Amino acid sequence: MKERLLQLEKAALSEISSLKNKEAVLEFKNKYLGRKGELAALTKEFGKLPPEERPIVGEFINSIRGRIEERINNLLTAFAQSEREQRLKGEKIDATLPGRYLALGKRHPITQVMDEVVKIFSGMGFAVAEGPEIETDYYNFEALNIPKDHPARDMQDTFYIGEDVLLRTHTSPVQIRVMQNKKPPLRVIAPGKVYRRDSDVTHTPMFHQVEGFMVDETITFGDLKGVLTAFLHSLFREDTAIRFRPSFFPFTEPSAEVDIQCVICNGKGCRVCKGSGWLEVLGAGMIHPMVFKAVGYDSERFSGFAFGLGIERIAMLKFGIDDIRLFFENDVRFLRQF
Amino acid sequence: MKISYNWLKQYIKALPPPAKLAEKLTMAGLEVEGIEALDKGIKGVVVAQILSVEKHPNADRLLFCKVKTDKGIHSIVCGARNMKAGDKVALALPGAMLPKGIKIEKTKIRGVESEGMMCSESELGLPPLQGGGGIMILSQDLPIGKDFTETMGLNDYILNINVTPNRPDCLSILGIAREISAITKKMLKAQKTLGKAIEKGKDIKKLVSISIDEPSLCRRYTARVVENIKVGPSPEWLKQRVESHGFRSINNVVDVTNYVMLEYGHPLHAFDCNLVSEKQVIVRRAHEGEKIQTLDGIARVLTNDMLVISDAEKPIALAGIMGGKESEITERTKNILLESAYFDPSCIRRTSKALGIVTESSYRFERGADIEGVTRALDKAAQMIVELSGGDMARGMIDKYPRPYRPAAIRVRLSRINKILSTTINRKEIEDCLERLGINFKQVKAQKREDAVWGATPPSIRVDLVKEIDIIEDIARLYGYGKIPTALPLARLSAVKKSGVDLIREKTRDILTNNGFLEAINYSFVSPKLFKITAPDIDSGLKLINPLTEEQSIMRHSLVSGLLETLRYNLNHNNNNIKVFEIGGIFATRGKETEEREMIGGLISGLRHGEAWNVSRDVVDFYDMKGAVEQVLAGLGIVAYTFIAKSDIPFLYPGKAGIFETNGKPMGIAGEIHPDTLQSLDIKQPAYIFELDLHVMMTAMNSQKKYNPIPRYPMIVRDAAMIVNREIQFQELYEVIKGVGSKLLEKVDIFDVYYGEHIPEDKLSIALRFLYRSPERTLTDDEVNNAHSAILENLKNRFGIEIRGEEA
Ligand SMILES: [Zn+2]
Repeated sequence: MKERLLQLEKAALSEISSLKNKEAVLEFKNKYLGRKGELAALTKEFGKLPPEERPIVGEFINSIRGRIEERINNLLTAFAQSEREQRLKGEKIDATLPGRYLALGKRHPITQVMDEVVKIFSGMGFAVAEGPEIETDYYNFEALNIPKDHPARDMQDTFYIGEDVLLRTHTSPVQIRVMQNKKPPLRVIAPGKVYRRDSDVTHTPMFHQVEGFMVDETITFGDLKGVLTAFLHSLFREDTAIRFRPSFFPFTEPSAEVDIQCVICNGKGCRVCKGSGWLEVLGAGMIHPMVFKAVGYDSERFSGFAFGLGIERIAMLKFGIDDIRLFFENDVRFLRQF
Repeated sequence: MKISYNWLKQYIKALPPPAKLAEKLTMAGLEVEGIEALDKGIKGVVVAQILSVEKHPNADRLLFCKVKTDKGIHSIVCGARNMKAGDKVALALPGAMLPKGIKIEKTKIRGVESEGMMCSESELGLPPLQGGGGIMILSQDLPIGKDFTETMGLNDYILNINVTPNRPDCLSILGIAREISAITKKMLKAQKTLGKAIEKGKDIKKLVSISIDEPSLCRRYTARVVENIKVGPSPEWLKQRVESHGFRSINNVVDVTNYVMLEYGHPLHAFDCNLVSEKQVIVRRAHEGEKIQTLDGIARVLTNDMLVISDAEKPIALAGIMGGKESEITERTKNILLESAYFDPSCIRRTSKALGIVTESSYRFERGADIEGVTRALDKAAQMIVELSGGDMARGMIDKYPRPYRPAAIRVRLSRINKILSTTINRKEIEDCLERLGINFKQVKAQKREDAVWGATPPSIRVDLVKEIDIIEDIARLYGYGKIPTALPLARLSAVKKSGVDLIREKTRDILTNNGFLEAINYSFVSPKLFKITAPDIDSGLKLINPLTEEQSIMRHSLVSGLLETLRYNLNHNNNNIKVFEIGGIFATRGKETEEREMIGGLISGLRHGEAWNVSRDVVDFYDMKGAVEQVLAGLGIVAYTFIAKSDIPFLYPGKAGIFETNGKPMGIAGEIHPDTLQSLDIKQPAYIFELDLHVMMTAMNSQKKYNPIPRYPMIVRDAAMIVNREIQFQELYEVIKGVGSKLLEKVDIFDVYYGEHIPEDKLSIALRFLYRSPERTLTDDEVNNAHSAILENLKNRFGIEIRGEEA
């Protein structure tokens, strides 16, 4: 009996290694282990054995069944796996093709820089004020200590709509409008569009400016330096070198031009900074007593500083743009880059 | 202002090198915008004399010359033919450098050795002679062997200084030298004054008479006369000086007046004395309509608020601006009248603006000349003219000076200086600054004992120093802005709140950019053609009086004009899929008033999803645009609005346009651009626009967000497809459905709109999905059926519609 069982196992195990697919395995399983299979047939002879051999042979039969079943299961698992692999291979895509997405829009680079500037000053407690783009001569010039027939008017070539009506050349008129309506202390910035009769690679007839000012009883030139240094360090790099040098604006005195170390060449000198290593980014100064007089402030009691910067210039430096006109051509290949 | 470095050296000992000097000036408020080396890099070019000119043995078109310098005799092969033996020339010896980095070496030309090169004007970076060609022939009196750049005055640097309008005192060599002296504490070299001995002629009073009719516009007028001069070309050095400062050399009289203006900053004018009628000079207002031909040859018509210099008959100069052609200095001029005066800045500026003439003279007078420096310039010029053109200077000068300059002292407080600057500068430092600035001062009584107060009198040339703050600025300048301590101000805290307008802009930008819109910024001014697209009446537009171009001559009336321009620009550059928006002002007139409104505009055109391998290639339509607007309005919490279809918006497609209204007020427009409009702009694909009024939006905005509980009971859905007359708009159906007022109806969705086959031509099929729900309980079928059939009954009664796929 044992002999025949061993032979059966040997035959089965040799046959199993030649099985090629799941169907063959199932057929094989039926042939050997099925209810009418070969092992079952042998088991039927079990009754003929003497009682004392039965447990031993029984155990032997079970171990043979176990071994064959294990081989079958292994084989079935292997076939299932390779079958799945085959299927997945067939469903392969080119995963290197680009993805599908809805194109996002972008804020205009000028808006982005403007937002950044406003955010920095808001963080320092500056409120935002706005004013009209069409201004009167009084607000744009007279109240800012730029009388008629003064050569300082040449500094800003103006578009006129009427004899005394013009497109504002700076957002400084907002300074006058705010001071006429409020008493110090004041911390205000005025962002907006301004217009000058000028057009070349670095000038467009319309551009954006942020003007800011602070008025209180103890504001000094040192405060001006401190606030603008903090601002520039926030807008550019923390370690950007900054210098203040004397200049002239009719509505501030002392006046300053604020330069940062050239961000293109790090101060070594290049085409953008005309070899000087410095870039002019801000105009500033202590508010002129004549301006305070125009709005009815006592200049012995109050002092303040004001500053202004051109957003296009900052955006050109930040993004490396060399022609200001690109901002207003609105080529979508340009707008998408920011 | 161009300033010669060598000229400055005549005033300041041990002048810092050019770059260093430029930095010092810049940091003191005189921004140096550039330094130009006049030699343009020329080195090793010397004055040489040609000894012989022979034919080149191997080439007909070349010459072989022997040329002498202090180092010996050199063999030079040369292609030019304009020279002869004895001529002096500029010789570049081997190793010499020419402009643009060209290096000269010994060479063999056609088998003959050439030990250098004789240079032409253009090879030396100089303007070529008229009709020239050939090498540069130098003046005979130049010494052989001398450095070429040195003899020509080219071993110099020109500093280009940006002088701010408040500093007319710096519009001269002397002015800049004075400033350098103040900054560097180096002493100014003393200048020679006019020797009496030079006045050899007649008494000036016998030669001319001068009167000022308008002393408020001409506070001082001085003159000298030089007789028997010989007008001719200026000597080289003078030519070179005036030319390197940007002037054209004219003759030895005019060049002197320009030279002295450059040196001292005071404009002068020379008249041909023989052409001054009756030798009378009158400073008066022009008569209305009076005419003068100015030196530039243009006939000018004058008005009564202009000042002229007149002789007994007619104006001979526009005071302080330009001389008259008639009394111009020419080669025939024998006697000259030299004028040095002080004219009122405002008057000069008004006249210069009115006539459109800006001259070096008007530029200085309108900024303010030195009334006390008038005679110094006059003396210097007269003396130079005598030296350069011979002649006899008349004895004495005429000096009409009705009310001499009497400066007022400015009160300057130490405490104020330190308060404004946040410094601790002491008395001695202040006095040192004042002294360097040439400001006279004396200490006066202070209100507080610890303070110091000075009465400060600036020199007459510093017309900008009028108030205490002006002096404080100058002290800060000399002290150095860099040394002023940097501080941060102490200030009360304050909450910074965004305005409603800002909130709308912010949210709109967020929503539209999330939706794929790029933000554009167009100019606020447009061409009349673009303007007319959106504004039927051109007179409602704000026109610029002085536009740069016709294309930018009228303030936009709508953002649509700019957005169409953006579309056109992009289509021209093959960017065919456009989704842009803009937030900005539009302008109009209302009677005499101007009006500004802020708008939000948008435009879409082209493929909905752009060009990609894996997206559908659908083209955008009206509903893409309208959906974008609806999204913006929803995002801003604007719910109380209606859209009314309109066919009468001129630039929009009839039947594909309409307006948004809130509380009975128009809030904006939306639609497809009219094909005629597109054609007029040469745009070849459909475009859809919207424009919303930001201020009206603000009145309808509700930015307060409120939570709605998520429904706990199931909804019941009923679909209904109906055949509707095509004239009926969905909005009308919707109004009726809402009008039934069922509390159970939560929402109506449209899931299909169809017209075409199987539907009569004047009808369309619209399929609606009705969602019913109660927040309190699960609805029964009966309840829903009742509500649903009530709605359908109403629709049938109102519009005679036919229900197709009615479900029970
Ligand atoms: Zn640089």
